[in-house]
Amino acid sequence: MIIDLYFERDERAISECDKKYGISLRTFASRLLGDEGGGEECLDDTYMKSWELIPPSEPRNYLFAFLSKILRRKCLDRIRFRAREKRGAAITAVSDELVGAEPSTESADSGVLGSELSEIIAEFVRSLPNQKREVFVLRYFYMEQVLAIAKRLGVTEGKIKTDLKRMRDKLRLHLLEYGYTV
Amino acid sequence: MNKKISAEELLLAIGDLPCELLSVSPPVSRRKRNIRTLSIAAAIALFVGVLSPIIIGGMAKSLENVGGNMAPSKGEAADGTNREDMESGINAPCLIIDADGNILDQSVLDGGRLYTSFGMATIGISHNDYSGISLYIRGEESELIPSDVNNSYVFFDIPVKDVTKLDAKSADGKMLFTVILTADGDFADIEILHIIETDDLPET
Repeated sequence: MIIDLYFERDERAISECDKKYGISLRTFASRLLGDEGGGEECLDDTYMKSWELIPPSEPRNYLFAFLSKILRRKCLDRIRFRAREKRGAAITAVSDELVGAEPSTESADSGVLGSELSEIIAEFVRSLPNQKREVFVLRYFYMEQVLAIAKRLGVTEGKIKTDLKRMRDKLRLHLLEYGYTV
Repeated sequence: MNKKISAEELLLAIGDLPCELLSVSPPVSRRKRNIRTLSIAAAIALFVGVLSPIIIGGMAKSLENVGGNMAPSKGEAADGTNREDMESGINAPCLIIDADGNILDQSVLDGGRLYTSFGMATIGISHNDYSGISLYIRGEESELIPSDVNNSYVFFDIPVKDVTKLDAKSADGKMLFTVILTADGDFADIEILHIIETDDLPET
């Protein structure tokens, strides 16, 4: 297993990761970054970070999710250094969709970020039925297009849009319970 | 006073979700959806005419009945039984049913072959399709490493417990095949729940 290679500090772990997940991760990075490139650099950083984190982390059953999480953060960090108008289309669309309004100009480092907000969202995601959780994650973590999600799950685009709308409404209420508004 | 959070903060917080919440199922095969369009009459005819003898007669015997173009042997099993008598090769198209004849799935196997023995399934994937392939066992992406390689195929050994659904997806997202197996712990109770066309099994 690839994880065993990490634990043995065998550098083939990285090449095996790239062989197995490289295409999917590159697709994910290009979806986040748009046409401006930089995905390869983010992917290299991701592999390097995974080398630092494993061990002690042991994502034996969800290595792809683990790598995706790092890559997503690297890509978002990169995006944050760009001027807002230069952002990739996908990230802007998803951001605006999530808050249902004009994009916020507040800084991503304004202080409410951190474990509390993540915990609240994780609690919300855990409460979702499995298919709805997948729709939420595909759209707002992996940033898949609605049509692509519909095709992937074998349902209509309209159903996905409806599900997403209901989940966003529920998420708003859930956040409100903890004193957050979007 | 409520705290206002921005879209960016929300997106970043979603990025911190635990990994176990981030797993997603493999894409639904278009062929799986198409299965619904099969008529009941066709399904019954298939079961009565072809599948039933395969299941009832046992895997090895029934495979001989199907045409005898068996999968390549990988040697003898621990009890001395020749695996060639137990193994089955499957190739496109493949129809999967349960023991009652209900159709569970219909898949086109493209570059994949399957062998089972003693509670283990061995999937063979052609070299052409192997690069970047992802295998899903019971919906979970697996991190299997090849157990064997020959001139045509890269093999993966997969433990089969209860109903085991195996999906293989290529690097470009194409679903290579879906297979459903049942097993009760030993070979005698394993049933391969699919119909087999053996005409175009590649030489190995």
